[in-house]
Order: sequence, then C-alpha cells, then structure tokens
Amino acid sequence: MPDPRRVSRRTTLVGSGLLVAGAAAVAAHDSGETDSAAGGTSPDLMLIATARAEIDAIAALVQRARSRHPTLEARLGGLADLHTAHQAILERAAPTSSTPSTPPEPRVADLPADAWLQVLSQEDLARRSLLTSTTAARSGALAQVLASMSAGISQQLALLPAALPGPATAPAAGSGS
Amino acid sequence: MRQRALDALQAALAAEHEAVYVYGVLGARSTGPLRESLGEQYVAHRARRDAWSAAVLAAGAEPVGTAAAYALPRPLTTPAQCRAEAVRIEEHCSAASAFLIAAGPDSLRGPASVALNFSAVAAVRFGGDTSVLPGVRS
Repeated sequence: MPDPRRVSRRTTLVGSGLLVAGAAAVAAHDSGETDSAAGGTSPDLMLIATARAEIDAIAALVQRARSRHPTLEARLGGLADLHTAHQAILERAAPTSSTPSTPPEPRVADLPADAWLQVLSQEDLARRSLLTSTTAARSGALAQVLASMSAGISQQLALLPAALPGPATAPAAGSGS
Repeated sequence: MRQRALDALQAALAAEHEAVYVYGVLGARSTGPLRESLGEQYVAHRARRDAWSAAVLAAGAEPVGTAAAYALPRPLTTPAQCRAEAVRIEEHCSAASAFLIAAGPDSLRGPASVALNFSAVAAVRFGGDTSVLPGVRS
C-alpha cells in the first residue's frame, strides 16, 4: 500500500504546472508595481525570496535529519517530497538569476527522538511564517500559493506523531558504561 | 467591495452552508469517535459560515442562503462512506477558501488562510490524500 504521506510525482508535476499560472499572475501583477521605488525588487518578489529561503532551510534540515537518523528517513519522506515540490514552484515563480546560496548545514540533534521534535518544531515555524506572509502579499495569486503551501505542510504534520517512542533527551553523563 | 471579491466571498459562504448541512447529516448517521469528530467540524463550519455571512452584510450585500437541496452520495451509511463524504466537503471548502484568498478582499486573507489550513488538515484526517497545494485546482 502506498504511503499516503508521500507526494506522488504526478501531484508534484501538477503543482508545478499550477504555479506557472501563479507565477504569471505574480509577474503580471508586479509588472504594474513601482519597482523602481523599491530599488528594483517588488514587495511580492521579496516575499517569494523569503519563502524560498525558509523552504530551503527546512528542506536542508529534513534532509540532514534523514541522513543522520535512518529510522527517520521513511517517516520524513512526505515532508522531503513536499519541500522539493515547493522549491520547484517558487523557482518557477521567480527564477533565481544566479546560483542560489546554499544554507549552512543544519545541526541535527543526536538522538532520533530529539531530531524528530526539532524537525516538527521548525516545520511548524515555517508553516506559520507562510501563513503570515499571505496577508503581506500584494498579489492575490501569490497569497493563495503561500497559504496553500502552508496548508500542505499542515497536512503532512497532521499525519505524523507528535513524538517518537524512546528517550527525547540524552542520558545523564556517567549513566552508561 | 469589488464584484469579483464579493463573488468569492459568496462562494465561500455557499460552501460553508453546504458543509453545515453535510456534517449535520453525517453526524446523525455516525456513532462513537467518528460522530464526535464530525460534530467538531459541524461547529467549526457553522462559525465560519456565520463569519462569512457577517462579512457579506458588512459589504452591504445580501448573503447567499442555503440551497434548497444538496446532493449526497447514496448509500451513506457506513463509517467509510461518511468519511469519504467528509473528505469531499472539506476539499470543496478548501477550494472555496483558496479562491477567497486569491480574489477576495485583502481584509479576509488572514481568516481565509486559516480556513484553508483547517479544511486541508480535516480532509487528510478523514482519510483524504495530501496535496502539494491544497485547495488549488489544476
């Protein structure tokens, strides 16, 4: 049985295709904005850049957690796929003109249970940030995309356990042999 | 409020009317924890219906009312059938909320975004599929 948390390739492609229209709407909207007054960067393009940086950061954290803790790899597969799809969507909405900066490699907790809590906490922050950004967008199309991305993360989080069995903190020093 | 924004708001209100009706039916045909979950959705959608209705009134327009009838799948008796119908109505409300975000008044973007999150999560909790962009139709 397929894991419902995994984002299918077809879904990803559909999502990317949708954002071509969304990107066009953003571009069309922004073309009428006073870019010169904003130093050549419209507010909506700045929002997209901010969202991209946040998604890149959380994607890097998820990737690092999966590679460091193999027991988390499958559980976090849905989130990893979702972030990849969202990165593609944002890239198509506002292509980066140069090689995107690579975020510093995130530190991941030593224990899987701690890493799990770390990922879920950061995912929730990213979800909230996207939700907040919807009210700042000038374009309705961009607001819709940001809100929907937030809802996509919410769906994934709703299907994951809040905590994993096992110790959530490192054992006290000297407790082991 | 522009006509397109008002149309989006009225569409969101119409979706909430339907959700209130559907959850009333589903709740009456369910028991146990499922009935409890359906009841929670009923209360939430009723509150959202009232909020959208108030927004229409504030815009100086007449809120759309409930439809004379809503088509429900038959049979609609088993828990699985009730869950499937709950998924359908939540996805419908997600789409209406997403449209409201895109085309509605700026002042309702925040609550519409919360509504989208709410319905998207409810859909998967009732067994629906996850999506890259919940509420946004291809």
